[in-house]
Amino acid sequence: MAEDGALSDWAQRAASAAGDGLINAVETEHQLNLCVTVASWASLAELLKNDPDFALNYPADLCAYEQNEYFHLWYRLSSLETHRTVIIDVLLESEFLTAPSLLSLWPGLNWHERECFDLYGIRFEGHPDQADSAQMRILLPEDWEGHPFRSDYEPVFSGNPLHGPQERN
Amino acid sequence: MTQVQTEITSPGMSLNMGPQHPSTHGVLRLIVQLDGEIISECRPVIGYLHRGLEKMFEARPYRQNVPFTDRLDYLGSLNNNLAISQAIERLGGIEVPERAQFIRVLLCELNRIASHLVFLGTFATDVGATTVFLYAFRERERVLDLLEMMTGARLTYNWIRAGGVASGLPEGFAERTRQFLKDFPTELDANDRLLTGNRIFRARCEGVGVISKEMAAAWGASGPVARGSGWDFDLRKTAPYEVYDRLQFDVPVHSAGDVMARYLVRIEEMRQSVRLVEQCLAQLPEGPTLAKIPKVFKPPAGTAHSRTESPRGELSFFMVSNGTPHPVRIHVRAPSFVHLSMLPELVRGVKVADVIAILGSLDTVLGEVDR
Repeated sequence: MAEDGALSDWAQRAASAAGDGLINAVETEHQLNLCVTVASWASLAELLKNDPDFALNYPADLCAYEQNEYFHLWYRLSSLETHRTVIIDVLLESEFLTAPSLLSLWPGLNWHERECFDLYGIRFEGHPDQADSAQMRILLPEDWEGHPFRSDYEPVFSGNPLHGPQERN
Repeated sequence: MTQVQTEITSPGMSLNMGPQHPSTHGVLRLIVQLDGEIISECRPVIGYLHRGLEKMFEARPYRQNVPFTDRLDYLGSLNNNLAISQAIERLGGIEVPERAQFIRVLLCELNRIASHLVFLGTFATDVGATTVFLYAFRERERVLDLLEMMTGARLTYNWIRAGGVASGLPEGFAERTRQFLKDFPTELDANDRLLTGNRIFRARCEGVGVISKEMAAAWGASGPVARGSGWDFDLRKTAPYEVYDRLQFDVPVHSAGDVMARYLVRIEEMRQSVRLVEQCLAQLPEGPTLAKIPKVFKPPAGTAHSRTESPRGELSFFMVSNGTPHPVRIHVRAPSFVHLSMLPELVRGVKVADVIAILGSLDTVLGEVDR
């Protein structure tokens, strides 16, 4: 199902590392866009970080978004040596919002992962704060209920304009 | 009499720094665990300034979101305007007129000078050199006067739009800017004499808060923080946008990785910004300043992202479009957010007073941390 028409050797290796999980691969100058399922993501991430061909040492960005019944984790990883960039769109089924935490590879993803949990409720297996959702929350108050960036989120109002939306008493 | 020796242990002390504390440069709360005067653990608590801007972006057409970006990194508003405009332009395939590209670079570099001057003043105050603040803000005032002449505002400019900039240069702007560029390097030299060589200042900065080259990369550090740790990484050079590839400037890099290195990088960057603004004024072509975009702007479905070098580091906007006038998602990759996440690593084992110096050297703006 992969459209890997004109991939260079370098991109081909990354694409084949995703195996059956590869949905789409597009290469442009200095940039490779991969779309993979979450099952193949952990092993692909390991290759991208540790293999000397890639050595993507700079976790530039991570964010989540929701589109067409699917949740996406959008990773942008770069190398500060070669300035090559790989963008990985990791697809999550909306019933099973769990992804591997990659802090052991890129510690800089810590707060990005916490933000994805806070706003979308995506769990990161292996994140040190994952067990306690109050610790995992980052932008919203610790006792906030729900994940406001999801399309099924219903805003709650306290009824008192002097109070915050979820503030009691 | 017998001497009784007992070992005195204490469970340590938990100290709250913030949310209101002058040295945190905004509403940031640090919960630090102290062992005597040494910090054993630090947990930053953020979100006091969270306005849900990314959610608000979703409810508005693309171009109406530009004014909100002024409120992210409010010391470098024009750089935020640029980053979101670039992402919109990539999504819609819009070509920016050449004159507008020059004006964008000119404005962003002036804004970078203003932002670094705030860093200089507040950081020097943090480590006890209060006089510098007055000189730095005097010079910043002149930059703000220039930007006010151009845009009509002093902090939230909203001047760079998708497709270009709002207008050309007003009458007399070029002359006043040239005069400022002539005077400003002398002020920087004076600052070097006042602060950079100061023995007390150096003692507070050298060898403090060291970020190794590997750590800087693995934690996603960018901008002056990465360049202070030895990475020759400046998006204006490595992934040039607008007309940066046609202008001459150097990227200052220091390898020490300490607070001093980050300070030195920012001071040198101001000199380079002066060079860039001079070249923009000299090479500014004639022509339109805003591309024509339909009133109802519907970019094709897909994703796009921009990468720009803001005064604080890599500022990037990521957008998802489904072909309607409203975005599905706009995400802001804020450099301050990433740099602040390094703080617990940096302050473990240092003294309380050094926390202020280290935090100051990261130059975070809580507006873009909390969004």
